[in-house]
Amino acid sequence: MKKLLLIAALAALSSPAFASKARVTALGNADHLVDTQTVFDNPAHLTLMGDYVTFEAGPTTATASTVTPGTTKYSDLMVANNPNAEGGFVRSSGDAKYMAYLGRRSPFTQTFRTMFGFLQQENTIELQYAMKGAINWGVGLNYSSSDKKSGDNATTVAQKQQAAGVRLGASADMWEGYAIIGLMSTAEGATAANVLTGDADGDDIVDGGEIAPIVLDATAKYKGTTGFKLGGAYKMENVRIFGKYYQDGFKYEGANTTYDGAELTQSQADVGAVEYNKLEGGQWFYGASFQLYNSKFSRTGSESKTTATFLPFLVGVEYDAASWLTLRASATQNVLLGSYKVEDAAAPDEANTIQQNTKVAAGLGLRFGKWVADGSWAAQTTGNVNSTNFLTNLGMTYMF
Amino acid sequence: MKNTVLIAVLALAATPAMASKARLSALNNAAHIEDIQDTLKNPAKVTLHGDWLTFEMGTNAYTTAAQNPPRAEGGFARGMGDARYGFYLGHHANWVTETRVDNTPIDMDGGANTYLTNENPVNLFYGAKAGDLAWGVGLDYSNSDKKSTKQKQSATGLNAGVTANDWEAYLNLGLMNTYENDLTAGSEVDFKGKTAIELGGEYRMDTMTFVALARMNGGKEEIGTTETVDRTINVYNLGVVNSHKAEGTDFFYGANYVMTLDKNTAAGTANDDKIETSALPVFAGIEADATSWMVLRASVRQNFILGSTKTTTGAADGEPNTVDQNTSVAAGAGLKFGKLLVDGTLEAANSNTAALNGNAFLANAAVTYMF
Repeated sequence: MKKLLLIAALAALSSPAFASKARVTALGNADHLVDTQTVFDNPAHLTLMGDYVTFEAGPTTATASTVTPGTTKYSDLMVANNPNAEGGFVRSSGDAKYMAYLGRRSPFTQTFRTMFGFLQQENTIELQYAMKGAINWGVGLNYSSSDKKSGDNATTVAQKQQAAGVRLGASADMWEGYAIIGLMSTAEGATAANVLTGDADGDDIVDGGEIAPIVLDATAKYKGTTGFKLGGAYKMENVRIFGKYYQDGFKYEGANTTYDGAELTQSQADVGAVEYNKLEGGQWFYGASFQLYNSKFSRTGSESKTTATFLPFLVGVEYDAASWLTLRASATQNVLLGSYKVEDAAAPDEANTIQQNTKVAAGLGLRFGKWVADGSWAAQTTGNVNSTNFLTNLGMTYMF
Repeated sequence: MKNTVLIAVLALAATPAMASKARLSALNNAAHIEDIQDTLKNPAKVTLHGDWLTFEMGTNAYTTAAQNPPRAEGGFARGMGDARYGFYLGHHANWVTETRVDNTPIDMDGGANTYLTNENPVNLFYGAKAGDLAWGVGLDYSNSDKKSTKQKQSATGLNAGVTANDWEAYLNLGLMNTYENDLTAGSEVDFKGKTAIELGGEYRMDTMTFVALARMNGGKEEIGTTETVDRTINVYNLGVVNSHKAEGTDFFYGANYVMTLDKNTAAGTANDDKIETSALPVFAGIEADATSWMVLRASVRQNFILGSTKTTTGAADGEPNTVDQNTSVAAGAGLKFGKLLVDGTLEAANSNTAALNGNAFLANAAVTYMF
């Protein structure tokens, strides 16, 4: 019976409405989601969906968030969740699925390479293969390489970059597990850029004094340090208990004596649970997780450590409002527990509670036959639903 | 049997969904796509799409300094027994444009961007069926004489093409491509294009379409008595597309290998300027009926590992760079109203916010009526 329920649930999850970054974002990145985008955590999810071709709208040269001193939040920069042109397709071959995907880039790499003036990942390609069975499994490989010998900008510095990673995943009726391993991330040659020196006052805002300009440097090098993400989940009825651990970092070398030898390491551990319940034509869910975040940025004569704990609560709903329309929304906020502490030479090393962070995300999916056009509701931060500010982060998917 | 299959394919191809630059753009100009716009390249294709009347909306302010599409153009095709003829206004042939605009460091008129484009061009085409084959010929013509600014331009081209069940071939010849600017005594600009040749073909095998193209073009510019530009443009393209068609759906993916060379070997310049590129773009796309009145289409494209750009400026020998980040998503919609089709590209597809709203919905709109 449990298996039947699970199969029914998975069948529902593979319906045409489930297909975009906009959807996953609108649902608060809830851990139980299966989506065309969750295959980038666990490639075994390919076996849980039908064949599809998907397109995420966005610019060719999407960059990390622009930093506006006094306004930009560090936490937003870390997410770097800007629209980015990407897309690909999944096809079946017997019990196997294979995927080719273009343009997927790492938010971490995108953020920090940009901050130090290095090339981002360019023309990334990802191939995945998955097989159905008692245990579904999947593997993926992504790769990107550039070599600009003469430089392609006005400052004409020669630049190189390479990045590669693998994804491994498995899923069964009651559990799933996955690993994402960064094999390499290197870049050489940097244009002039603005480095963020750290959140000295712990307010999560990039203040003017927390930006240090660096000049063009042909000798600069970026080298990714150990980067991986391990995750797993256990399913009991309609409750999913999950855990994941993520670590990433990089080392910088260059002529700039302030930052030569600088190194950033960050990690995050999440343990949580989410209960998801079917509605007629939809689902609703709620859950909470405990998150432990550590970051350390060291350079000559200076070291900054950030330690934070969070207990975000999440509640969300996805509902077929009409045969052609799915609406979805979620709210997240830290609840009671949680602290944020920055230790460096300037700030008092005391822990603050987590700042106001209530956030509502909303979106909709428009179904036209086998097509789904998903978007985020631009009103989610303004409250204004109108024709000039309607949908953002458009994703289009055709389910075969 | 082959004929029956061909008729069925042609019947599908003749549906109102097949008709605009916006459509081709949303589908990455994939080689296997049949569209009435192909008629301007291979006039034999006028026999494939029934009678039509089409209008591409856009500006008429098209200059060498500002070439931003979309540009206004339109025309029609009508049948006459087994033959079909057509007349088209405003289609600016690429073989003319590419020789009159800058490709830094190769600058025309010293980079002043004063060349006239091929103004008010007209295309005439005629095609007919002959058994399993269809053939067609076309003529491009444009002429301007601005006495007040002492500028003249003229361009004449011929097109010819053949299509059969599983192959097609075409030849575009640029016979005349001239520009003169006599405004400044002693610095008169005199440009004469070289014979432009574009030879292309496709071969279809089951779900695969193989495409090959070779293009040669160029021109010489003199300012006063000095030869400033002797330009040669070569383009070679080999590609393959795998297309899976089902009822109302065409899903495809493929790759091209493209090599281009644009060089200036003018006697009046001390050293040659040269831009050499190679690229291996891969792409995937789909066109599928969303409802009885709407077809949606989208594609993604990006260079795949191989490829380089090398620019040699004067004495400085260029070094090859890998191809810049160029992942792009294109999307569009076609709205069917009886025999009338309104096509457009979804503005959200490549905008910074990927926003779909009332301010930025459809672009490059076209209206087509299929008789």
